[in-house]
Amino acid sequence: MNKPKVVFSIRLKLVSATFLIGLFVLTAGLSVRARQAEKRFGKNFIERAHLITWAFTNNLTSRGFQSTQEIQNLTKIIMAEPEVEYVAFFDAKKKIMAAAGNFKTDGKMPVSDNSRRILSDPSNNLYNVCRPIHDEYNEKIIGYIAAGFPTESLHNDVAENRRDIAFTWSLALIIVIASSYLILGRIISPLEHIKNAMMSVGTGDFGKIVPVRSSDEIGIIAGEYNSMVLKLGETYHNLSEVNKKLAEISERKSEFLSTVAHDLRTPLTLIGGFAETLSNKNLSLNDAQKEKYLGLITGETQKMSKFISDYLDVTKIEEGMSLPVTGPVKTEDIARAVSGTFDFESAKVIFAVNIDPKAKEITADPEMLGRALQNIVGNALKYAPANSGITLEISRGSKETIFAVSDTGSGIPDEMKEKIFKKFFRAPNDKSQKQKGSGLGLAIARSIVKLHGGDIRVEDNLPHGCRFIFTIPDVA
Amino acid sequence: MQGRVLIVDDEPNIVELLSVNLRGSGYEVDTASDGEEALKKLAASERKPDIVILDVMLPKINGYEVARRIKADVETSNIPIIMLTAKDQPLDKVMGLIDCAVDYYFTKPINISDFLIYVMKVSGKIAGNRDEKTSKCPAK
Repeated sequence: MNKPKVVFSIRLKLVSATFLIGLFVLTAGLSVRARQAEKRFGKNFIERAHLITWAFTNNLTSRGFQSTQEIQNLTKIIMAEPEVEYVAFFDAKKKIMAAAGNFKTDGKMPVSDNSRRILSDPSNNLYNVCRPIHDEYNEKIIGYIAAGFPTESLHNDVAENRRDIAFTWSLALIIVIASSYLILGRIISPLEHIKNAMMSVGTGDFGKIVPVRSSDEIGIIAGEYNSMVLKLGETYHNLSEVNKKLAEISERKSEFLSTVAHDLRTPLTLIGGFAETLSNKNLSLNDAQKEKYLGLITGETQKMSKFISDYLDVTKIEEGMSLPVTGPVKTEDIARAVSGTFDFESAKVIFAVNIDPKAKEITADPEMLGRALQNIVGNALKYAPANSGITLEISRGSKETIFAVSDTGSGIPDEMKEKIFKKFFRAPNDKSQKQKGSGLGLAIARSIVKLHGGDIRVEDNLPHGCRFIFTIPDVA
Repeated sequence: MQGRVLIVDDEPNIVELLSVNLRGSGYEVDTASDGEEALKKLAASERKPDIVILDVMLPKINGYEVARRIKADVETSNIPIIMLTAKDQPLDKVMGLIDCAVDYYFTKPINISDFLIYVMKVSGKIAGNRDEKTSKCPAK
């Protein structure tokens, strides 16, 4: 059988989906986080720059602004601050008055940089701030202060932050994949069981039950699957039973065609042959011969019809078409009916009946039971030597009535003790038999006993002969 | 000369049926009811039969074996055998006609008058309208 192969498993699909969602959420979240951090870095930087410049402009008076000494002192203090590239002072006309640090413009007053551009342009490594200086009455501008702040450390901070974020991002992604793989695996593993069970159903094995671990949809599917497969298995079993039965019936039919047809060939030859012989005037048969042949034709016809009706009976019983009509039966009546069927006297056989007082009545189909006993006794009589005896004993078992028919004939070899109950079985090379039977008597007896739920067997009757024993169980 | 037939069958009624008809056709009939008896009678007889009618399912030695022994013995190998049996499967016929080299194979039920014609032909009682020299049917 061609088994479907999973190329892209559902687990892989779900993990991939989780991965993509995780990737999106993590990237979006962490970039927002990075932007926030960078903005704060920039804000801090700009606030510091403005604070430094503002602090000095506020402390400066118009008088002090004119003192070179004071400006130089201020410049020194500013330059002592960390991360200050330069500082410069201009008068009200924006003409340079003093400068310190790495001030590279050619005396022109720098313009304040746009604070927004500070982060977007990492190549600009200097941030310029220029503020007007007012007089003490805050009325007119007396000059300007300009200062430059290197942005290198800011950019470093941003880069470092981005590295941290990237590390967090990768770590989180790995955790997402690993955990989703494991968690999804646990969720999906019942599906795997269902898949395997289904595949074994494909090979005709209905015995695999899927463990129902959870009460979620998969659990419900597993439960439903189990009951479905159970039903399916039952149906399959029933179907194959029916199929088997059909095959048996078909086999029986061909058995009929070969064995039965075979058994009808000899009587047909005799009937047709003697009829033809009788009508052949050239043979000049005498009256005794004519009478004999007519008798043979009648006898063979009777034998044939007995054989056919026996065969139909055993087939009906075996196929369940004829069911026993059970009722209370007196064992004595059955025994009397059986002994009345046979002519023991002319066969010089003594027939004895021995009934246990506890086994006076049983529940059975009287007609069938009588037939079974008749066939067994008839079989014993057929092989019984002259001046021998046949005994029918009816006794009680624990939950059944036991019928035993014993004879003192030649007995039955061990290898035939099973076979004799088979249809069409006849003792080979049997000389005591004047007329061949149908080979169905014991088969019918067995079918009847089985129909009543009992067992039949044959054992040796020491020192000579055999004993047929069958049981009819009590009706519960 | 009167034709001789040996009928080998364990069913006495069949033996009776065949005997009465063959006698009526002028045959001298001998019978055996099992394979062993048939072989003994064949070996003991001064005048061998002209034809053997043989059943298959026989006590002691079965028909196939009897036929094989008759055909293997130089003394009896030229006696024609008609097998008359209820076994009608193709394999049975192969056994009889090929393996045991019997001359004719009849399955029961048979038509007695048809059967008698075969017996007469096989036993040489009626030779058939055939030109002995050319072995061909003469032109009419």
